Amino acid sequence: MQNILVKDNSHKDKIKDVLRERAILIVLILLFIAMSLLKTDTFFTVRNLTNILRQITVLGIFSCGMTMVLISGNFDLSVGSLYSVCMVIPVLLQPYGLITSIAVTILAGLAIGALNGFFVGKLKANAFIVTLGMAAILQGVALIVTDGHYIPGDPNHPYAFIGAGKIWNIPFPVFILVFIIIISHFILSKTTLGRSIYVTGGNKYAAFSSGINTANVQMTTFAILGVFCAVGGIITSSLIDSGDPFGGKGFEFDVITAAILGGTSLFGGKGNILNTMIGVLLLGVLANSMIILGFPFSAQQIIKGAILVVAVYYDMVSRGDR
Amino acid sequence: MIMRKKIQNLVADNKILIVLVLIVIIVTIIDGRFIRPTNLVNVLLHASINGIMALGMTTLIISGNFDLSIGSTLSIAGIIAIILQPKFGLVIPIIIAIIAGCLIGLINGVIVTYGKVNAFIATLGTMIIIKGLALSMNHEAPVPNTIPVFNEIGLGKIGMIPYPVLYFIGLIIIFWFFMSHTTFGRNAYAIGGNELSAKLSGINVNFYKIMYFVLSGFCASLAGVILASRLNTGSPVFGDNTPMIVISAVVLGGTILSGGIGMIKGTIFGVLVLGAVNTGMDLLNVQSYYQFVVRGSILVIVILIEAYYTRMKELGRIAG
Repeated sequence: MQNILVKDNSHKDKIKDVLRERAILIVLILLFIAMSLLKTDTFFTVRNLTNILRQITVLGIFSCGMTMVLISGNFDLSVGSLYSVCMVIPVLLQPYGLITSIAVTILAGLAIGALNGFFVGKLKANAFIVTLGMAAILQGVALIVTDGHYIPGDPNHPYAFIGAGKIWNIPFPVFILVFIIIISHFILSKTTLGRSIYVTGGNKYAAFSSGINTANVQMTTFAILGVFCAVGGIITSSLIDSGDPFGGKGFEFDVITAAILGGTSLFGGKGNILNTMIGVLLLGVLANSMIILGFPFSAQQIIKGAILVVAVYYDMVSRGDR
Repeated sequence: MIMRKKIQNLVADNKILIVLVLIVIIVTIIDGRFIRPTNLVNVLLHASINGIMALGMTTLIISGNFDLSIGSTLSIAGIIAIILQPKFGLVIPIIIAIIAGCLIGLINGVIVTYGKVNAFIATLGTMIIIKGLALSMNHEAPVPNTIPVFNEIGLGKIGMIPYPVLYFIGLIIIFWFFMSHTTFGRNAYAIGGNELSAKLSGINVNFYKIMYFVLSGFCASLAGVILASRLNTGSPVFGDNTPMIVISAVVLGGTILSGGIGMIKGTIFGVLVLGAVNTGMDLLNVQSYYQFVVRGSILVIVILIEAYYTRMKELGRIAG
């Protein structure tokens, strides 16, 4: 009798565990079904679903990098401004050829990410505040190089293919996203660097004592995030065929929210790319749904902020349970 | 030798004052107009509105927490103070605006203490939410002031001194008294220094932590009302850069981000330095794009210096 009771409880706990672990996925599926039933003619169409996919590619790419930075126990508030910078640079450099504009942008992203990482990893500066300062600097840089204007690109330049092109009717950026997901997942789960990232975020002192160069590990995660920001900037500027010096404003919130929704812990040491992608999908579907349902911009903001707070609270609670 | 040590200590204790004097001298050499009384009043004025928020932030950071939502609180308080004027007249909307600020602080505090959510992210979230609310109040448009007397709050003067400077001085006295002469202030240091031992010594840690958030919200809404009065409008776009400027000032003044250490005096010099830099840039016609870079660089440099000192202290502790 007792045995049965115990068994019963553990069974219940298991269901609870599954529900808790998969809560975001369940919310995503429910939202998707609800929207498909409510707005079949506008939501559940090939065109809209392709649109969602297109909208989440850049968010997905950024979130891969942010997941690594978060797992290593850090944080980056400058990605929004870096995004703006990386939208502007390739368009300005278009006259110098495709390769130059892409290469310079990626190098810029790498350099700025590494600089953030240097401040945080080597010089031990508070990641929140130092990247807040970097965000202002980068926003200033984006405004200075464009003189505050929208920079139009050349629509006939081969550059336009990156964002707007299609292969087998699938937008080209989706392939880039899949490629980046695979690389990120591989780095985190199959390489020494990946394990070092988890250990560094889990316990910096233990990691350091066991011979991991924690400063370098942190720098590397920031540098990877920087490169991904550059890729995102290239895709967006190519898609809209222009460089917008304010284009990335506020994007850091979406990226952080997606990663945390996906179960990446703010305390470091926990998270993975595939779960982050579920967070990205949820945010993408939600943003699309709110637009289709005609929510005003302010309401969208409020809901986004609330989701961020709830997701962090959820992270805290699930951490306390372990 | 003793003399040298004394001078060294004097320099170490007054770093920020020396920076302030250097900035004043440098800008004055470049453009003599800087030292004119009207311009110095401008420096004070710029320092006052940010300074009011910096006072609240100082207490909060000393207690080991943090508030990124002050910019949004500033903008929503200004909107509330003006948008309710047709219904309630002059005074009641201002009171409601300030109560709203305190309420935002209360919510932040409850989320951080009882929800145990990281203060950075919690206030990042409430910052977005409040921004959304501010946008929704008048269909994303600014609200013009309807009562002329309302302007007096921010634009009024006694002699050469604008009212906001007087509010700032008043608040400085209150904060200085509370931080150094009451349990309310001492507990901030105790909680920020070591929360567990504060709890064990019988301090109601959660209550005080929430109170420091309320104080920060109060200061932000007060600054919001003053700013709205000065600019004759309440707008959801005010305050976008506020958290960065205020945090720069506080950290510049020697308050340590990890909590437990900091002084009101330092923060005052911190806002004065930023005020001098800002007015200096305006005077020298520095384009606003470059001002972004300058402000960001100040924050980054200050944080790096703070990190350096903290590391040196830790090394010293291990060695000693």
